[in-house]
Amino acid sequence: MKPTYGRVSRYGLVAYASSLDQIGPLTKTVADCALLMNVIAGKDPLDATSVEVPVPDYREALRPEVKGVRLGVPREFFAQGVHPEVAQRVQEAIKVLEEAGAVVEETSIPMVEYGLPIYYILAPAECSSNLARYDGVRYGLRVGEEQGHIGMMERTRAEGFGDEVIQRIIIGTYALSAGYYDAYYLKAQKARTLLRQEFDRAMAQFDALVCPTAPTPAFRIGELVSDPLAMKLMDVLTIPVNLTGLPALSVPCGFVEGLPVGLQIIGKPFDEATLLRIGYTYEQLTHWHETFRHPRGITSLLS
Amino acid sequence: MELQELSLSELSEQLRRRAISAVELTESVLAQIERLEPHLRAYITLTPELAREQARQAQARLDAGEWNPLLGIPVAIKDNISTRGVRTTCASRILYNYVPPYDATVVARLKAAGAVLVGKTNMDEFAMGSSTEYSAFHPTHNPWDLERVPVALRAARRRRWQPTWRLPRSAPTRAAPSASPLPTVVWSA
Repeated sequence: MKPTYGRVSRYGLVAYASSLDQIGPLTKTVADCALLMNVIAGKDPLDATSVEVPVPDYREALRPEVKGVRLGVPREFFAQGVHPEVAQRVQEAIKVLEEAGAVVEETSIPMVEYGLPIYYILAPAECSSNLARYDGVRYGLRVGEEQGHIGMMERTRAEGFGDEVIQRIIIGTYALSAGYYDAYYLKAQKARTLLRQEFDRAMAQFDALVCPTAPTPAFRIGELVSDPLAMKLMDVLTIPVNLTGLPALSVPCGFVEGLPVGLQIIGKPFDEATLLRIGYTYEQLTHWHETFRHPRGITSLLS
Repeated sequence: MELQELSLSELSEQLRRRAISAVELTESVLAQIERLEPHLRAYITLTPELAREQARQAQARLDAGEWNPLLGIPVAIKDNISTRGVRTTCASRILYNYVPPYDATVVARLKAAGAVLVGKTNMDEFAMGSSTEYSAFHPTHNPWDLERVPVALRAARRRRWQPTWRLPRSAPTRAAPSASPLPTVVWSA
């Protein structure tokens, strides 16, 4: 589960992009997720962005009951680039919830298309500021002390950061620099607000949105994805909940090519309980989570 | 059914009924980590001694009649969440030896509940990425297919980092993941 931004304290979480970062539990079942949320959720005086919203006992959400629950299916989340069988598994999952009494209706969030560009301006911008603290003076690695202060800092960063991190720091610094701030950072912030407004409008008609978590099953290690659209869509389905701060839950909903596929359930701010109830109901009706007792790749290693 | 196949809720019930002890449970998780980690590489740092000590303390609380759903339950923490006295690297060379002097709030809360910390999990460097392939240390393998990344996201070729110094001895690079009964506290961005 990715809880609502502000639901779980970020105190002690090493900052990457402070307006996006959030801690959440990864568990075998929805019930287990509820138990962890009961412990980690709630206002923390040490994190000013954590919010004073009463935390329910999430175990009370563990009821197999979705009668009358309004589910929106945003069509952009099933667009080109989503593996047809992944889309099919997720549609089957939505059907299961519909047969259990949920009211399912298609909806649209056109701004989702801009989720990725917004993210790749804002996250690097924030990280270029957050990661400035790694200068070889206070934490961790220090290389090239004999080269003076500036030399040491340069060597430490060159050796200490990987290529992807360096790339994001450079992009973020550029996006924030004088003359480009308005064109990139400010524009991305405005687009983020529009995205949030579209989600708010859609959420006003529904209790939750349902869609795939990722557009394809897992890739091979080292495999390059030759389809840039597929590559973009990879992040497109989960980045919106980070940008909007909304809570989301992913539950297993079957297999494609022998690999697990996730049903993503997106909720209203601080309404993690409804997500747990929908996820729990789905689990009880399908038992896909039971298959996670025996992951195929390690069965032979365990016997 | 093996302990590793049970969910947190099921294990918690067994601990409450005294069907198993917290020490037994932790030992079984550590044994499974030992078996699987060379194949999965889910962890950056393992904390078996800390886990054993916390399991003993949890069992003492259980013996005293105390109970809550997380008391004695093994958990793994993503390596960008601060753990007092336990290396927290963010999967980056730049923090390869950083030991936080304090616990993150979520860690403090889990500890207070009596959860047992078995280790710190692998991730993309500073969480920038989706497949763990941007970890400065090693990629993690998918328990459903060991040749694949552990999440359904992008993969890219990159050169592996060769350390020019020795990692501290407390820095093992082996252990297990989503196949174990470990409810992992993670982070997403």
